[in-house]
Amino acid sequence: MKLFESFGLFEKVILLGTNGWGWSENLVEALLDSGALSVIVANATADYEGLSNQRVVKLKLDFACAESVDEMLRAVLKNFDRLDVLINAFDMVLCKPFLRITEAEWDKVMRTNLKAVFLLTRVAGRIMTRQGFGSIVNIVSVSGSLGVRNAAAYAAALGAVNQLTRSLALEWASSNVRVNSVAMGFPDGAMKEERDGMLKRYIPLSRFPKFEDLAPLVIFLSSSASSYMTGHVYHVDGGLLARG
Amino acid sequence: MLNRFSLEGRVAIVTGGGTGIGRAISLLFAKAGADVVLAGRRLEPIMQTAEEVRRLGRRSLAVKTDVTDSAQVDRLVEATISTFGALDILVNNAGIARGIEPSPHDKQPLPTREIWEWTDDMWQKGIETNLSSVFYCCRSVARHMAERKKGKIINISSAAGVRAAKGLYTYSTAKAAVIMLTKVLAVSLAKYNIQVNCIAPGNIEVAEEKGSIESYQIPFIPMGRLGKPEEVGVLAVLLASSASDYITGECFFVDGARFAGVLPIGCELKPWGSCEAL
Repeated sequence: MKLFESFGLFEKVILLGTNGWGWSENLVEALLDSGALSVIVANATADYEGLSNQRVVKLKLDFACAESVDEMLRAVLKNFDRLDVLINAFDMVLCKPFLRITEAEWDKVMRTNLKAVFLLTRVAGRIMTRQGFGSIVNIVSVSGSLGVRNAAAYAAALGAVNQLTRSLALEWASSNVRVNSVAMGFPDGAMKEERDGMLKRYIPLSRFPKFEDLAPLVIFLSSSASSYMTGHVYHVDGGLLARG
Repeated sequence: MLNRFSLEGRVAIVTGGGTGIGRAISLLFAKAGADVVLAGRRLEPIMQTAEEVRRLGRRSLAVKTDVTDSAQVDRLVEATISTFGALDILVNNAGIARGIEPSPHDKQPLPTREIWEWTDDMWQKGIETNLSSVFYCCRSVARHMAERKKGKIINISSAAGVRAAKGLYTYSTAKAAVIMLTKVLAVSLAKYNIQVNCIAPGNIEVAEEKGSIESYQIPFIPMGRLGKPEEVGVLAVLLASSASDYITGECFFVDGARFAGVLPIGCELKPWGSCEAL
C-alpha cells in the first residue's frame, strides 16, 4: 500500500551510532525490516556477534579520538552514494551526587553521551547538507527534559543533545536536513530495586517501555513521512512527563 | 514493522473533517484501513470527504454537527457507535474562530484589538469554539473507550498554543488549554488504556488559502515552506495506530522548525566573550 511506503525506509542508507545501547541490535533489525538498504553500525564498544547480514556494516570507533572517527567514517561512507539517516543511540548513566562526581567521570559522561553525537553528526551533517536531504534522530531519555536527582551529569549531557537537535534543525532546515530527538521513559530495572515498583505505579500507563514502543516513532522520524517535523523533542514515556 | 501503523478495522471520528487538515487526516485514515465518520457544521464539505473515503474502499458517514453544542456532539458519537458498532479513534480538529481575532491563516496581519475592546461574548465564543468543543467530544467518547479498555484521542492544537502572538487572546489561550487538557486526559484515562496526544501544527497550507499566506509566513519558517495537511495527517495515523501505544500526554510540533528556536531567521549571534579569541 502506498501510504505505508512513506513510513518505510526503502533504499535508505542509515548510520547508527551507539555505545552498545541495549536495544541497538533490535533497532538494526527493525530498520532492515522497514526496508533499509544498508545500516552502518558505528559502535564504541565491542562488535556485535548476532548481526551478520550483507546489509549491515560494522565499525568500531574510538570516540575519544576525533580524527580517527572522522577518518574511518569517511572511508566507509565513500562506498555509498549518499547518507539518508543518522540515528544516535548513546546512553551512559552515571548515578552519583553531584559533589562526588570526579572530573574524569564528568568527561566520560560528556564524551559518551554528547561528544560522540557531535562527532557523528559532524560527519553526517557534512554529507547531508551537501546532498540536500537527510534525517537525524537522537535517541535520548526523559532525563534530558527535566531534572534528575543524583544524575546531574547525565541529565546535562542529554539536555545538551536536545539543544543540538533544536539548533542544528534551525541551521540545516534550508538544506532539507531534519533533526529530532526521541526521549524515552525509564526502562525496567532503571531504579534501585525497591523503587522499580514505585516508579511503575507512578507511570500513567503503569508499565515500562519495550523496544516495540520506541521503534515506530524512530522509524517514522527517519522516514519521509515526517517531512515537516524538525527541531523538536518527542517523548515516548507512557505519560510520565505529562504528569511530571 | 510497518504494519504497526495500520488502522485496519478501526472506526474514527474526525471533527472538521470536510476541509484542510481534517480532510487530509480522514483520507489518510481511510488509506490506513479505518472507517471514518466526518463531523462538521457545513454538510457539503463533509459529504464530499465521506464520498472520497468510500472511494478508498472504506465505510463513511457524514454527520452535521456543531461541536460547541454538547447535545449534538453526543448524538454524533451515538450515531457512530450505532452505525459501526464501536469507536476507536477521535480526532478533535474543528476550531478556529475567524473574524474574531487574527488567525494564523490570515492573508496578512490583521490589526489587533486592544483587550479592552473585547466583549464577553467574543471571549466566550473563541473559548467555546476552540476549547469547550474539545472537552465535549472527549467527554462523549471517553466512557465508551473506557468500557472497551482501548482508545486513541488526538487533539489538534496549534503552535500558537505554545508561543504567543499579539492579540491572539482566545485562540492562543484555548489552544494552550487544549495541550493541558490533553495531558490531564492522558494521565486520567491511562488506566483504561486510552492514549491522548496532541499535534501542534505550525503554518499549514490549506487549499482555499493557497498562495495567499505564503509570502507573509514563509520568511519565518526555517524550512522555507508551509507544511502540507498530509504532513500533519501522517502523524495522526501514527498516533491513532498501535505504533503509539506507549506515547501519551505528548504534544507534537509539526512546524518545519519554526518554533524550535529563539531568534527569527536572519538574526545571527556574533561571537562574544572568550569565544572571540578562537
